[in-house]
Amino acid sequence: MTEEIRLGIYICHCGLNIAGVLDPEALAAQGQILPGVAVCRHHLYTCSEAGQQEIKKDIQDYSLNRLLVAACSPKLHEATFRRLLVESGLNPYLLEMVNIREQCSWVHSQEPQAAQAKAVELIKMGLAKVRSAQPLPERRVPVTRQALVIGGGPAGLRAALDIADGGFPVVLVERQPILGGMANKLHRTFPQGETALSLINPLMAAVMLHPGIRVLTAAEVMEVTGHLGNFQVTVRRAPEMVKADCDLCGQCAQVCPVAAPAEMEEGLNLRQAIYLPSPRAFPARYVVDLEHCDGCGLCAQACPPQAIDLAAGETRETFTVGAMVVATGFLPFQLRGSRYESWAARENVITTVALERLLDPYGPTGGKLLLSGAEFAPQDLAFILCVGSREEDGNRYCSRVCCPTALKQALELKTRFPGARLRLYYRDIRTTKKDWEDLYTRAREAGINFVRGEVTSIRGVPDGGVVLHAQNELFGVETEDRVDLVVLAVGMTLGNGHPLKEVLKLPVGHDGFFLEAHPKLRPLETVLDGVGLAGACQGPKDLAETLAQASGAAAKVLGLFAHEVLTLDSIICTVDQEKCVGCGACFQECCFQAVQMVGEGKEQKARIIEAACKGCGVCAGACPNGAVIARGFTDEMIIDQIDAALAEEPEKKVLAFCCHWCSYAGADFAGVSRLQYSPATRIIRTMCTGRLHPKFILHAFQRGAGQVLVSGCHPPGDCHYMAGNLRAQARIDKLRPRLATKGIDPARLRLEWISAAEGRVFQRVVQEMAGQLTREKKGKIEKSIE
Amino acid sequence: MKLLICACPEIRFDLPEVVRQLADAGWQAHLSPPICTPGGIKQAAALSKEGGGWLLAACSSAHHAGLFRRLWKDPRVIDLLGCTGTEEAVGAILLGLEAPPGPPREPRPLHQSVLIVGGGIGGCQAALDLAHAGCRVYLADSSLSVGGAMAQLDKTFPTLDCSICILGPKLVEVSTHGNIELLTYARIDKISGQAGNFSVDLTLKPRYVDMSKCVGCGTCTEVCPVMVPSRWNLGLKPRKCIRIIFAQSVPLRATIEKEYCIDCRMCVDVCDRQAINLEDAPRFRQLQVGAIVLATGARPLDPSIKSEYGYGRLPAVITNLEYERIVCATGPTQGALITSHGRPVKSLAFIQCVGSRDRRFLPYCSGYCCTASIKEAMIALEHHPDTRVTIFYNDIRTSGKGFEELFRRAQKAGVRFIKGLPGLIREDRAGRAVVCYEDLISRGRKELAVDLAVLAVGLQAPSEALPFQDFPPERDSFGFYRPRHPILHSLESSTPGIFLAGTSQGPKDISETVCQASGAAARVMSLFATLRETQ
Repeated sequence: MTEEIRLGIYICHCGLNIAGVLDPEALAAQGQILPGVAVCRHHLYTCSEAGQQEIKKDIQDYSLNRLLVAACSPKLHEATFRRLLVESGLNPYLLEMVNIREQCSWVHSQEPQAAQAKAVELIKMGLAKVRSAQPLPERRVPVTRQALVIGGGPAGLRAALDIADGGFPVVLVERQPILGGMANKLHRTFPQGETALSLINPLMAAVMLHPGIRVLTAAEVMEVTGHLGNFQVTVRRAPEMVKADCDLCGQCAQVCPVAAPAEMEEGLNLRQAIYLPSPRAFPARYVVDLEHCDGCGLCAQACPPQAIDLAAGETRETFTVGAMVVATGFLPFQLRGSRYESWAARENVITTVALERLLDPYGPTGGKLLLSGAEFAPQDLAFILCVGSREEDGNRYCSRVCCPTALKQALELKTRFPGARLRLYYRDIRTTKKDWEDLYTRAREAGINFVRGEVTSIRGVPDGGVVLHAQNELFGVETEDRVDLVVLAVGMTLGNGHPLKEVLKLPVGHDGFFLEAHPKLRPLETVLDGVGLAGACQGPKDLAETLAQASGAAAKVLGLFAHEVLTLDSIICTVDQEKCVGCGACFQECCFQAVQMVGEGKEQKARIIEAACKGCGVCAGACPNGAVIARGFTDEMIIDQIDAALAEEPEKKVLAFCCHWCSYAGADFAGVSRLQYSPATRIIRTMCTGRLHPKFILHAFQRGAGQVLVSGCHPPGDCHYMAGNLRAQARIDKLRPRLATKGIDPARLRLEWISAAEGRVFQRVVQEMAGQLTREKKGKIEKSIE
Repeated sequence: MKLLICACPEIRFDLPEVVRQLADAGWQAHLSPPICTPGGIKQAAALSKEGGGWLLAACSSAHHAGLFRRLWKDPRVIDLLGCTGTEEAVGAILLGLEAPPGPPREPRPLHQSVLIVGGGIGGCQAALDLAHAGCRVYLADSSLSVGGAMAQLDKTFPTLDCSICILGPKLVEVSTHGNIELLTYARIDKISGQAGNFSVDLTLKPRYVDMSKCVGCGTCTEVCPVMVPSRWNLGLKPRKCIRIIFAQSVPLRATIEKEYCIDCRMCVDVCDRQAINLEDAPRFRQLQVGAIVLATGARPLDPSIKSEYGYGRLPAVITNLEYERIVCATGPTQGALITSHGRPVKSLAFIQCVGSRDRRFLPYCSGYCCTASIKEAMIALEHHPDTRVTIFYNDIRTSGKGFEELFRRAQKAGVRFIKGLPGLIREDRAGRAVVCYEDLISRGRKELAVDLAVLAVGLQAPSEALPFQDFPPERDSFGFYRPRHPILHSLESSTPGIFLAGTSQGPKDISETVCQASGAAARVMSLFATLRETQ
């Protein structure tokens, strides 16, 4: 670099927040004489309009080309000052914020002298870093303004309609041959008891007729590559054996010799191998069940419009979208393989889903309560709640909708069979929504009994009924109860979305559902930019919540599509092709598939896909040759910061590497909470602990650092880059034995997980490490005395 | 005019009879299978090809999702689902058939801007989503800062994240977004007009501090001699008459509460930016917006009406929101969990369903309180692991994502759960709260003396009504805004162009509110797109 560095340093009083402990004037005087510094000032409020005007004027007057602001945390005002640089015609990345408030004046208010000395060093560290700052190019990603919606249930339908109504084309992919998802199996909805048909069918029909929506049924997403704004999606479509000419005459099914249980009807009746999945769902067309079809060809001969082609093969197509919504829904808890399997084997033990089909006038029994073909007027009926939910070993979560579903069904049965005695075995009745409690009240008023307690076993009795053995919690007794029909209120599990875990690398929570980016504030997004979540694939939900969430996910897509080009943060990685030896370490460690290996054999080199890169620097931390340049956090910058931090009395320092998202914020939070800790601490911020190459830690020890802390987000889920923290952990585990061989006590290196809210933990950890320093010092003194 | 009647399965009266009566009146009706089924669409598509004007007797647009628009150009629709019987249906259809065609719709001005009423987390999220999508947004809040109730919480469930830490950046984003104009300390005086073209009058109340000069340094607060109870800290701590409402408030500006100001002018003298203007006056604004999002929130029930719990009489009985302030590091006690006498709290009781699920007060479940109390119990244990915590419940309703896990963690951590809601809380000689209850599981009437009894109060609709001139959105019997349809359109009010987000339509937790707010934003965008298309 031939460019002459002309630095401006600005030290903020922040009222008395900084100036109450530190002496900004003295800091400014010391700053002024540092090499390369053209101007150094202090200001009551640097972030105020007046403070910013002063800096702008200086940039012109002194032709400044690097800026250092010693004030509050970069998390607060880095954006403000970056904007200032842009307004002054400078690249926004030629700025360094030095945190002398949250990480100095607030946490060392009892030791102003030590705090002042630390502030000087912090400024020197900042200077060391900003000297090698380079202007970073703006990263602009063009947006393909077409969306993919995966899943054609209520969530997918709503999201597709909202995006298409917003003016952007949508491709809707559904695995089943028909749209509607689980809603097709529903008879009535709660709390008002409207039929699912009257609610969901119009959505389905509107999607089918919408000119902006392309519906691909019997299709699966096989592969997704690319990134926000530009995903290449490959979809596999099952063989289209019945063409669009099908006029639903049904002659094919009449001649088909093969019978199989109907999935749509929960196996309550049989259908042919060529069949109409549902008389009311879309698209309305017969389909061939490949699993059962024996290829006899009778249907093809019988079809008047000759719409059947049993030789059709599966097809694939690839298209590009800018964003996608995952709405793969749920599946009811599967009894097979569970502890309820033997219960369910009984004829008069059914699930709430099967009961929906039995109550539906369009269902397999025409809405009559038939069991094995015989009409049935039960006298005694029992519902068992929490089947497959809130289990000790199994699904631990509450499925949320089973209580209101069971209440709705119990009320309907009570209306149909007024003389029947109904009871619900429950643990807690969870009618948590404003309009749901009324169902519970109505059920009690209708004379339905509620028994709090767990059903432990059931057995058959000769008269055809079953006896439930239960613990009645409220009366503290064991009861036996003979009933004619048992309905198991089954919970929800992640449904057909499972393959997407692999295809999209979509993270899943410990409950098995897709994980949102943040449980409170980003419930509709995932950690993958441009991939949103809607409906029950994110967790159990009722229909109203599902539809609201789907609209929400659509809003995120519409927000992206409002821009033809998105400007993304410039802090990403690049590979120095000269230095790269093509070892592939970066390729293996990157969590975002942002590294590409190009070329063959010895010519192989790594290359970063800029649009996919999140800037965590995990690849740079893995590179054995220093070939990866982590922009904004280069090797050179970090080494210079270490040198500056350890220039004086290194043995008395605790050098802390903190990740931007959790631990640095945790240190800030210690400041906000005014938690006092040792001024021996020097923090170096990186985007992720995964950025840290072991060479930095070795370098710090070689420089004589007393203690080194590496601190990141709690595993497994907190890391903002999926698994950067685990990469750091693996590297440190490997480093420890090496430290010992170099004569460095591995106990001087600590790895801690500290979240943004754990200011106290940060305080405790650095206090312990600082305590270690004094103990070591004492030990050394004692040794030298000996 | 031709007539098509949809045989919707939701219609509970005799449709063939309706057809007969219409035939008697001289009108030939086509009775179609449900139009939203494949058979119905086929028939409807064939009929619409015949051309001519069509009257559809079917469902309202709340149900049909714009479907009819795809089959007919500009059809007239009678909502049969709204009719109670054959007579009413025949009447409505005849009226529709014989009514003269309305005057051609005049093009109205269409404003692509949105007013969001309420700057809590719901309002902020809706504002951000709309702003990102290029809409101009006005975010109005009656308070001095955006942030709403979430800003007052210590932590959020189920992850026990610090509330203000996750909310703060969002508030800053709202205040710095170029498409959002913040109107804090605002009162809405009048809302008139209709979807696409609302006119809103509002008053910005005087702060007596020049917003453009104040930098939020807090020097004025230090010198102010007047102490006033802090509403933001629920009266638990006094504050100064001139103050910044809370440390992370957005905008970060001081405000004088003029009723208490003694005109000593000490703040005027100390402010080196001359930001204080004791002669400040209210300012009036008129906004033209195309849509309005009501994110007005809910308010906690005042538990003093449930007098058996002694709230307001017994100092050891507090509400859960007061508890949040007490355990919060920025709260009145800097996070120390102490009683009003300053003694450390060694035992705590949480009482669930205070006002909720109670026919005398709020017959519904407020949804959030079980998980909130469990979270608050965990916070107490974080403060002092040997605190004895008891939760009195009716049903434990931890049904959101990750909530059941939190419930389990609390049980493992030693939080005691007792099924049975107390009948009475009294005070013992030491000033402790004595909870009198019947344990429904281990049986028997018992008493438990605790240092602090925390009431998990229910959420109710805000009492003040917004001044709608033309078509006020409907409210339900509890005062919450009634959605256009409880399942299909939970994000829209009964008035077109007015949308709902968050607890304005019923109790909700934070993540539900955030989902809804984004959803409402999508519906606003849809409305604008539809209005553009139909004009």
